[in-house]
Amino acid sequence: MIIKNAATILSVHNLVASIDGTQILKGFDITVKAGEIHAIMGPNGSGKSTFSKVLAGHPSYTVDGGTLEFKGQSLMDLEPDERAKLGVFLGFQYPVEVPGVTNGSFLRLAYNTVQGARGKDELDPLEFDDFIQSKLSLLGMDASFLERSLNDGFSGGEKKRNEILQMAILEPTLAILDETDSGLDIDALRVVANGVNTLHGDSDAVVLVTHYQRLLNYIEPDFIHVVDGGRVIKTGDKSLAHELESRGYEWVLDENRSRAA
Amino acid sequence: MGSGRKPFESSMSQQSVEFTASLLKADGANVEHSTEDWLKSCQLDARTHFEKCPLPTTSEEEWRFTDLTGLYKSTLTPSALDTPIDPSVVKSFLIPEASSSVVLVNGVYSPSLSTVSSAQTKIRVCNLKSALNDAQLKVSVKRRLNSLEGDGVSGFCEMNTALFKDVVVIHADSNGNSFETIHILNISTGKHTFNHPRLLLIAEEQARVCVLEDYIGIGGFGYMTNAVSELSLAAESQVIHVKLQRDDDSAYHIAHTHVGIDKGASYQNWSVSVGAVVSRHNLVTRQREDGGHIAIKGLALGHDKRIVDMHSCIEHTKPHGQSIQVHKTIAGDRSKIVFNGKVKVHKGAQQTNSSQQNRNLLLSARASVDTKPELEIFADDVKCAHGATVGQVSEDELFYLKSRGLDDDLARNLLNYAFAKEVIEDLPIKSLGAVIESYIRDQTKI
Repeated sequence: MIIKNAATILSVHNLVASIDGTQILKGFDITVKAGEIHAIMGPNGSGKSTFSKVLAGHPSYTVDGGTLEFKGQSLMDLEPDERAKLGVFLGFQYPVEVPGVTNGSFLRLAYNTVQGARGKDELDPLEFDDFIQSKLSLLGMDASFLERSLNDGFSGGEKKRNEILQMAILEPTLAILDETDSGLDIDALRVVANGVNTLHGDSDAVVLVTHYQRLLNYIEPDFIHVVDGGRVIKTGDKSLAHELESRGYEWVLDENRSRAA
Repeated sequence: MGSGRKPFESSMSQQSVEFTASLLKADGANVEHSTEDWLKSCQLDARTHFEKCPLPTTSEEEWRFTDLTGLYKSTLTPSALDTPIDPSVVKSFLIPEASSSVVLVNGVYSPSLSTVSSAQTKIRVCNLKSALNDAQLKVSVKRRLNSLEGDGVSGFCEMNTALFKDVVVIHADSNGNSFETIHILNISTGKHTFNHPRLLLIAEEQARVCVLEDYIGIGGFGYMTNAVSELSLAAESQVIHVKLQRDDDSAYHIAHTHVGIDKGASYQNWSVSVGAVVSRHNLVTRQREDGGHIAIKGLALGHDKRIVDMHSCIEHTKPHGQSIQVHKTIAGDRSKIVFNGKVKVHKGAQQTNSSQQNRNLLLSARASVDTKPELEIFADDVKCAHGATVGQVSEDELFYLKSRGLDDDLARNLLNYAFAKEVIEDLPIKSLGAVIESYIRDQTKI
């Protein structure tokens, strides 16, 4: 929802980033305000996922220029965990399997670490059990999820639900959800979308990185950004998504090329 | 005994020879209570062998990664036999699961620190002297003690046989379905001393028993533990054997474990090495009759300049044997970790099913891992799988955990623990899980 005079949560200007010497982001701009939902779309290899990883602080990427500010504070020199504590959350396209780490104890550890950093009370195991029940039911997950190893042997849908469960307990101010819809069947997509809609409020923002318009039927964006060649080449409202769905990306790319020429 | 070792030839062995001579000189007499002729001659024979053949050095193939120069250069003395020790410190190492706790101080049984359950009628736990006073038990002990042979035997075994002061004897008769847990706590207190703990476990048909063989140092420094354990499992018996080596960081720990299993018996071993500056464990498990199940799980932590060497040998001599082995190690700092896993399938041991997995995690560029799976198969209808990997903490896993707020140290610690967990999660002695977890946390800090 677009709110008049809302605070700016994310401000990215002319961001340039590379991996192994190859430049992927070449002047990326985006501004996200409280209450808003943004969708970043674009063809494969356009830099969408790179943007989400750079935002979360993935060590494989080097930032070569530009600014990256979260609530007025530069994220550039912060470790991924420091960004998480401030309220940045990345929902992974491919959540990592970590055999041997119990999901429940990991969630509690993450929750308490982040709570502690924000000067809030930590929960003991029993209190955490109570706390997480409502979050589990929001995502249609049963308590047995907590007993399993983190993402280990989870189906694609279970992994994505687990990502949103983490979002639910970490209560981020900015959630970037990278291809959260990929690998989900229609029922799982509904559950995940419903989870995001429920968690989203006036004081936080959501950025959806997606290849298809399908997810946007369930989570309605306020802005759509088309990315190509590591830059945002077009920004529009949700009607742009429908146009992309029916006409593909090519016309936007053409439009951009002719503008450049 | 007879492992075909040659008398020393090279000057490289000189240090080990001098070390051997100094130990013999320092120790003097044999077991004081060897009124038994057979025992006397057994110890004298070992002494003769041991005088002739030097202890192994890195010039021997089997020992080329286990650098004992530091040990051979040191001057060790026998442990004092009556070291005072604070019972409350000892108590902090005991485990709630144990029905009997046998405490040895510098290789000698301490009745005052031990708690041996008198309710046990089927499982007898005692020292050598008591065992020899029991006519029936004496026969078993005489038959089974010092029956080491074949692979994995070294001069250290003979040294133990020649110089042990006592033997912990565990004799288990069939006792229904319950597993009793016996904790053998070996405490070293000396500075630059040596001791030779000895364990003999005899499981009769259908017996069940769980033994924790535990090594710690209390106030000890630069000492040598040279342990030998012999376990004999009769048909259909089940033995759980946990060896926890948490000797002082300055200690040398040499251990030989020899296990023989009869028809349909089951032997489960956990070998966890989290102490000493140099440790070497030779674990030989031999399936002597048809069938039988061997499961071995190992965990070794290397930190500082520690060397941890595990040489295991699983021998299937008869058909239908099963063995499964998982050995995991974490090597940090400048530590060096060695795994040599031999599986021997003898001629005629058809339908053996064996699998071995060795996974190593390197935490530092200066740490090293040497791994060598060794399969010797002389039967044609067998299934033997093996695999070895050496890797580092995955950057993706690390980023994932950090993106959820865990700082670098915490995330790495969690991943190290997760890596090791496979080995310890199904430990039958539950309280040890937390104990080992704390060693992992302490020793894998970056």
